[in-house]
Amino acid sequence: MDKEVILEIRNLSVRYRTRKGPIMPVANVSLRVREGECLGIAGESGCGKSTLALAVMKLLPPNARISTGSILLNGEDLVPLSEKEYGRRIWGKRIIMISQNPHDALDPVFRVRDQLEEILWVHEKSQPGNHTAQRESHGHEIERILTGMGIPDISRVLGAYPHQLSGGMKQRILTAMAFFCNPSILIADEPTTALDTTIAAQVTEMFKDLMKAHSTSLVYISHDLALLSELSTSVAVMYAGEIVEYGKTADIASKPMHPYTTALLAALPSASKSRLDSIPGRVPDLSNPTRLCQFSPRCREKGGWCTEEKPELLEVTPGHWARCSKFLTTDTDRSIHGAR
Amino acid sequence: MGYGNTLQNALKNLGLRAFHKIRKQKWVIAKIVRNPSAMVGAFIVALMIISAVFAPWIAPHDPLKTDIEHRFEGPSAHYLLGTDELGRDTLARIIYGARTTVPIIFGVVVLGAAIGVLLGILAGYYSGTFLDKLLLWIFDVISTFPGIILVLALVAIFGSSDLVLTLILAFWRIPSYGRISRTEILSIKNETYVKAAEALGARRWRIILSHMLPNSLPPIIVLGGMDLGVVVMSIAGLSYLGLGMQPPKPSWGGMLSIGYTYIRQSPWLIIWGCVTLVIIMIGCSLFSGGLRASLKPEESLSE
Amino acid sequence: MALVEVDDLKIFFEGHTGMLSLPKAHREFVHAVDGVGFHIQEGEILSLVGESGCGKSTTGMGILRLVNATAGTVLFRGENVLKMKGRSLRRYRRKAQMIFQSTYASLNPRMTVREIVAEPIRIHALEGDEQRIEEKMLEVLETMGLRKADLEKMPNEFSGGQARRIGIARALVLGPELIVADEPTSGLDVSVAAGILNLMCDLRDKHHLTYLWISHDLHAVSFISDRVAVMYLGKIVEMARTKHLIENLCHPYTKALFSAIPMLDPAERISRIILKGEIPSALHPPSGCRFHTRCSYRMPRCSEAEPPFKEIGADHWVSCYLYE
Repeated sequence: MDKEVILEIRNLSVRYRTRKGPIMPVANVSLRVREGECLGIAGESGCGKSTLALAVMKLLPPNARISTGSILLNGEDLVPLSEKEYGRRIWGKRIIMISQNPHDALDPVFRVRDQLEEILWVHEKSQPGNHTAQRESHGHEIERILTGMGIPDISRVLGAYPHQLSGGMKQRILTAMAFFCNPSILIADEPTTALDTTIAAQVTEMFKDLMKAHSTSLVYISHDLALLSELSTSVAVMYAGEIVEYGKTADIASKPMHPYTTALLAALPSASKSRLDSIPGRVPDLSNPTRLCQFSPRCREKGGWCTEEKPELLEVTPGHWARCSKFLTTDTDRSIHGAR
Repeated sequence: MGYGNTLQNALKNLGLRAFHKIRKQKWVIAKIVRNPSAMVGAFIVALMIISAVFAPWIAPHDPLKTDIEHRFEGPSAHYLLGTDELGRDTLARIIYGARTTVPIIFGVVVLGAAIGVLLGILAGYYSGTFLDKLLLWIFDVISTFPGIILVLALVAIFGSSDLVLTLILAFWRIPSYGRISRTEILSIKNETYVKAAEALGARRWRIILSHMLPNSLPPIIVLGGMDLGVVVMSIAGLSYLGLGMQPPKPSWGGMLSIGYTYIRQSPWLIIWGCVTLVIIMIGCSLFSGGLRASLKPEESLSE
Repeated sequence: MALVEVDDLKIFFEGHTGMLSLPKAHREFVHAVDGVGFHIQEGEILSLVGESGCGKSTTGMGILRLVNATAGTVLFRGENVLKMKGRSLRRYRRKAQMIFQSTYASLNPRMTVREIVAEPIRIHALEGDEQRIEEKMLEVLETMGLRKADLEKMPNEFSGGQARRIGIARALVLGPELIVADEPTSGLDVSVAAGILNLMCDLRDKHHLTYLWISHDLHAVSFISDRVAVMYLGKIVEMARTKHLIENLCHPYTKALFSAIPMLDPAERISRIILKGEIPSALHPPSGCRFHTRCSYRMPRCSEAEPPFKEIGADHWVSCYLYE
């Protein structure tokens, strides 16, 4: 029985105006996140995953805009909403984003306790029902939440200014608060990339516990497929602004279909390998989107079919989609796409 | 035989290195060209230099030739900007004013910057030591002395020939360059590329000349550009006080002074004097601003 | 004789920086590297791994005389590097080079690639003829996959991976024997990092190089290194041959560290050990075993005296009372 779809992105494209001309860091992306599910978005730098997150959060820079597509949160399209609407109803309430750099998320001139109280207070105001008038009364609840997450030395941590805490500590606090605000959807953009290995593991384990406890829907963006394999149930692999493969994480990790995913997995170093497969060439120039497959110049499995047209995302096996012409095997597909 | 070959090789090598160094500068020039206000500034500065060099060919009249019948005239077909109190052509005097002023201002800036930067580099490289503290103290002493009084005193002692004027004004400008280059060196000292040069085995002087100096130059060059205008004003001020250029030499400051005296007879003198100085200041300011923007290697031609 | 022999290396930094220096009794020091010792055999790749503040980068810089060591010896082919001066130091620098962690920062932004790669040649006057300098540079650049046209470009015109290759080219041009690589793959995409890893392997084979590989990327380390030394708060806690270490994690910190790495294949995952608390300050390191404040196997003696660094197996060294 399928769970309800919380977030649906349909054919989303983002356009940036730059001095050299327009570029499309996100091109025709469609995704679905169901209730309680964690969707991973994987890709290297420049693939558009962060831009996608910013688009959903309406935090795109002034020279960028969503050119086509819709973002449906519980059925409501967020694209036409104004920033003011987002401020009133969405930010911090229905969508919360945890970004890579915890230092940016906290105001350096206020103590941590004040900022966390403010988060809870703002969140509570958006809920229906009786509201506690005082902001300060949230202190107890905050302590309860953080102690429950195993954060030690609570009074010192809460009384400190952000710069007095380590990155890992800040990230844990922000993650705990984010989950406890019970948003419809939580977006995490590389939350552990800037952290040391053992600290990152602490934060990742915390994510796992919180996901179990809250059944929050989560979009987790990372370049680390191994990390996503621990956290997410399904994964979308992005390249040059497009989704090139999508499916259950376990399937993609063990039986990748798109040549880019295969190449990416082959490039991961490990003790058992003696040589790595690096992908020749560079990421395509986004100011010149082609009508052909974006990956074909660097693809090892290039075939005659790759010179025809850009392939669509096809469901190769149930629940496992790939955007590659080599899966156009049936005659009907061939006639549609003109592949040989 | 052997010597000839070695000389030839040495010259060839030198030539190749020079060629590459020059080729490297093209992106600076290209960026200036792309920037409209910088181009305006560059144009004005170029005009100044051209006036200075080619004055005898450009000026419509002899700046020293008097024409008493036509004194205090406004702009006319003959005298494009009018005449001064002795009937001399104002335009010619402005152009020749460049000839007297421009060599001095460039001399001041180049000399002041050279000495200031040298001292600043020493202070920065040896920061924390006695040498650094001594140099800073020297900078403080020179700069806290009120400029005009310092210059007046020195002029009173040494006279006001062009050379003396240049040396005095350069001396006055040393602390500005010194402090800026010291600050730059202090931060550059900790840059990774300096460590990298050290790791390669570079000696102290090479690190200073090849790495620290070029990266500390941008603010110096910008200051230099601005300074051209500042020194013009100082000379104008001195000439106004009668201490700079002596008549009948045409000088911009002198024109202001005379123009003020004879403002009732003809406002044109003081008007043109002011306009000239304002244009010079704006030009220098725009040019130095353009230099600052173009000296950043972040954006480059191949983008 | 090993190519590099480090013995009881200590590098302390002044804890208090200010206008006035404190009297001797009150002086505090950051114990960045506190008694580190290891050998690197010729042709070997030894990795130093650890988290921020463990002292691995500082150790690398100390070996290359880029920071002043406080005590200890570093022998390069039998000569004590820490005592070298003048000409012998310059000769050493030709043989031991560094690849820096922050690539763009290590390249002078105002120099062209030509000037950057030619600099080492000029410093050591290896070549007087411009023509031959150019040939040598082109040779090295070609090995890096860069082209002649790249010579005229500035560092900011290159991608992260290419800039890193320029840094490697500069280090190689002198024909060194030892290369200290500080986080060579950090900040790079997986595919780009793979290229660099392959390149470093090829260079090692082709030029008979020896590497001190400093990194926190345990996947890359387990791929490329022959031996691994794990550092914590200025000390080496465990050291062994890579393949052996991965199968036989002994020190509690090493176990926690390796268990923390995300693994793609569920079969390779080990149960995660989450450490309590934070990394202590290097200004006031814990007494006895540095790690005892966060260790779940802590015994009373752990806070009293430091456990000795002992060989407990074939080339497997640990500093922990559990293995006494």
